[in-house]
Amino acid sequence: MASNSSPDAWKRLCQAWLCEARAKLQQDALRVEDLDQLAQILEPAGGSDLHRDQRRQRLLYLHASDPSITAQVIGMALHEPVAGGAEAIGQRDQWPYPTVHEAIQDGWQVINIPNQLARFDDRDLDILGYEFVLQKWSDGYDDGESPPG
Amino acid sequence: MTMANHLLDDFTIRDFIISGHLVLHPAFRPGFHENVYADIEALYSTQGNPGNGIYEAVPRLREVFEHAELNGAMQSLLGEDIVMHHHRHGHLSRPGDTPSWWHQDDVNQRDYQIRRLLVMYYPQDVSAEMAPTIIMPGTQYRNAPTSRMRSYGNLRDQKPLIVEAGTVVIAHYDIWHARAVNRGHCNRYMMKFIFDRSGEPAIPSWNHDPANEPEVRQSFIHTRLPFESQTDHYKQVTIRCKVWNWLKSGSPQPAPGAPEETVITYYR
Repeated sequence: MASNSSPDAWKRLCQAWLCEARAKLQQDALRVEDLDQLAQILEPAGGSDLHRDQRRQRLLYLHASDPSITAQVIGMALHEPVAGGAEAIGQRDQWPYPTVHEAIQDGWQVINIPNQLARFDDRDLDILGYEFVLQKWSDGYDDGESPPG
Repeated sequence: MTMANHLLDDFTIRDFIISGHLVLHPAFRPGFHENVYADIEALYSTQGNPGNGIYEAVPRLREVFEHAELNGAMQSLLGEDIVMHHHRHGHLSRPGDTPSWWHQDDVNQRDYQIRRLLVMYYPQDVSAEMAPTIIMPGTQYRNAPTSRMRSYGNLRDQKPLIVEAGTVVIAHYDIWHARAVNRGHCNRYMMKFIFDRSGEPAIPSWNHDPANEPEVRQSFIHTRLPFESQTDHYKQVTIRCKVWNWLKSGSPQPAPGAPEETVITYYR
């Protein structure tokens, strides 16, 4: 049996089993042993729990000019879940999301929205922008793998 | 040339009030900055960073910080009696050094009084790969503790100081700044010095021409920084006018009947 130690390998095993099971169903050849094999694939050591464990959280901080998700993004920090994957100041050439709304359209989920009840001063200037924090779940990175570009 | 020949004009003062920084290229004899760089390299490799003693340890720095062009600019902003602060620091970034985060030096002083300047001298060319200082023009009036800036990454309108050897940048002491990673192959030095005002302003300390007032005033009103919300822009306009008034007279309020009086009144 192929190694199922990574989410991709596990997914391939499931797809292979489904393909084989469909063919067997058409031939009325699906047996209890086939279901046992599926159960083995789904065992915690090699199945969905492993998949869940290997998912890693990507975090995207977007600072918008006002609290609306359609406001222009004035700052960003993308932190990839690998060593060395945190955003570094001075190393961003591309600004993929002009607004928070466009990041959402690309699959990012908002997990923190700016607090409109935060203290404010009507004369003083303070911090810059309104901070949205978004997440995406990675399909998993092998140790030492570089973050996506 | 005397220092008086190097006083700033109204529009340079205006630009400093808006952006919080000024880039100078004082003239030096050929090879001067290479010699300063060599002096610093030799010092750091043998004795390490001398901290506040950098000024005495590298005598050529005296020529930089006593240069008439630099002092003319500082006098324009701080008045005649400028004091060099005892704290100085020669910032070294080695190849591979990690970046710093956005910060203001010390707790900020903000608002309308310009009492302190941050002066940065670069004895070597600084490319985008060589850990340029990055500033965020227009942030100098923001009361933002450094600890609250920690979640900022890159800001769209940040400005990397990619400069030629010998460049001196005068910045408002409260401007947000950071240092990028050093992806180059040699050490990058930035000599940070601080200068303070020792007296209150009473008259303009630069080459002021009252005829320029309307244009300066219009710039304060209509220059909206790209990252500003409408509300923040209103606040900026008020602060800019107060800074201008204070530098001219020692009071943030306009003289009664002065043309700029309507500006502040309008935004209150």
